[in-house]
Amino acid sequence: MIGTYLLKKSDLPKFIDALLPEYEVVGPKLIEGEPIFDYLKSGSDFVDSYTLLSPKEFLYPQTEEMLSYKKNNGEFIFSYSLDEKKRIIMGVKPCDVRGFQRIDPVLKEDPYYMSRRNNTLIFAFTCVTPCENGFCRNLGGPTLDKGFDLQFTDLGEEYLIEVGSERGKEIVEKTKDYLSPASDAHLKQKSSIVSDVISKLPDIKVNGVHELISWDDPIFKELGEKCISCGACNFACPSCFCYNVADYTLPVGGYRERTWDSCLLAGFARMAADNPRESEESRMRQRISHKFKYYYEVYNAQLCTGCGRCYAVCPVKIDLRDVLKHFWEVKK
Amino acid sequence: MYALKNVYLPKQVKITEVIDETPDVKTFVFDLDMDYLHGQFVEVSVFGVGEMPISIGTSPTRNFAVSVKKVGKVSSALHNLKPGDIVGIRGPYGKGFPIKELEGHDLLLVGGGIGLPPLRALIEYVLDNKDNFGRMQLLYGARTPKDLVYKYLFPKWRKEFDVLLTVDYADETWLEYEGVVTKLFPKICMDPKKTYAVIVGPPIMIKYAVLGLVDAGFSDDRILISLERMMKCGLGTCGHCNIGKYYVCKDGPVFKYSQVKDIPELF
Repeated sequence: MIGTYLLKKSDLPKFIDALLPEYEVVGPKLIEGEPIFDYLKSGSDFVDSYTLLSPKEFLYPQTEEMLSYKKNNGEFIFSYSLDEKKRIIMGVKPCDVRGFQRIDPVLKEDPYYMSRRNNTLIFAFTCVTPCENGFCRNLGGPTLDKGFDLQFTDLGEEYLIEVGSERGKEIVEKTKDYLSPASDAHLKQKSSIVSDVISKLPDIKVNGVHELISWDDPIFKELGEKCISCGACNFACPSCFCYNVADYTLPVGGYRERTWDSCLLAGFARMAADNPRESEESRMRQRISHKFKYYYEVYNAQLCTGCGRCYAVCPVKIDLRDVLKHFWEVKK
Repeated sequence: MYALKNVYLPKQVKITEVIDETPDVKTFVFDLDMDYLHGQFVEVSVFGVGEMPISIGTSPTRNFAVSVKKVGKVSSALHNLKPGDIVGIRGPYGKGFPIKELEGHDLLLVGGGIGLPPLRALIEYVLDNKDNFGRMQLLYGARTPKDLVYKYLFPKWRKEFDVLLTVDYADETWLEYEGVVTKLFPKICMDPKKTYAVIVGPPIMIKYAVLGLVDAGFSDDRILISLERMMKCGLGTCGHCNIGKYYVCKDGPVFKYSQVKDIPELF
């Protein structure tokens, strides 16, 4: 840690206001009573809250133009733009930060994602109470060791702020009027809060599950019969990264756009002549195996951060906690 | 802050020639200078319609061309283009045939339908570098005599190596074999110990060809197959072609059978 500071909770709006002239600040704010990640117009918009959806779209928009073109004398003129705005996403939960970390190695050469990633600061917020559906206990837990510029932990009257990067240090420099040094006692207080949250989270084993997932496991058929192929789980997932690309024409020229895609939709693997994943069962097998086996075999991490959002949005309540428990049951 | 290269930006390329191969296959020759390996593919854009992955159908030692069967939206749009028209090309992508490993060996090539173009790329390379390879035999099948691509090349090829042709449905003009390509397997005149087999074609053909060759004594790491999957990016990012721990676009499309034989959804 580069440094630790305290910020009085009542000073948080002023702290944010001090950054707004230079940065676009994204954080949870109440929209029709619901906390949703959005651009903050003022520091008082911010609410320190669980959100149903992760802020994935601010690094990786649901829909984005990849390039546009105009025809000129038989040749095409291409143009594209990269979003290089200086941006802060604050109030990000550790599970969502880990979602970005899972996407990073896949999109490391993707200029659209990487330009946002490189220009965005992450202000993570430790979870000081367990959320309803979370099972992050063995998938990283309620706080981060790395992957943030600043990390906030609610200690009651004040936030403990841990600095995780040089860019985080620059933020501290800009907001030092509101900060005071933290002591070891504050770090200890944080540790005990985190331990308490961990003890309240379900202890669902994940490590080694990649070895337990077999092609013929009947659970895929069972879940396939339940699944209505709506793709909500993919969209709510902070680590799902698959996308589709489509071309559109305009009166002069046209454009190419990508959108989030879902491995549970019937057309995901469909080619002009054949669809190798026609059944719901095969697509459910792909989703679960990609998350807990295939991705692990390449990157040595699960493509799941235990946020429980897929369950929260699933209309038929497919629960990855049960799926993981099932794999361990089968082993016995 | 960072100068990021846009890996998704296609190059504009002019079509110089269009050759009608069969009622639904055309070959497009491009004015393009590109370094690539046999068995690799490119993403071809028809602007306003979309992008599709296509295997490169010629050896790097010859002119760049692809052969495309009219099946879906983009391939149909491509079929409407004429010499002088512009398409976008990105690539080359994927791992091609392991040419260094193939050198010094005999080659058994098994092709089905539109699977011949990538094999043609390999054949031309071998013919241009004859000293580095042993004997070669091609078994090629299509649905009907009309569906065989590169018919005009066969007489030339037959002067250099053994070419066996078969069709599922013969007509009265057909003088060669009839039946699926695996029916030609008894005619294989290669020693599995000295030979690499390369199979390109529709999944069902690859499946039975692999089983036949394993039966004939070919070891799993001497059988190369080229797989086909839905692809958007070509770079291992969009997720569509994921099978097991592999992305067909990035880790394939050419695989040794030994690498992928445990993936049940292979075929």
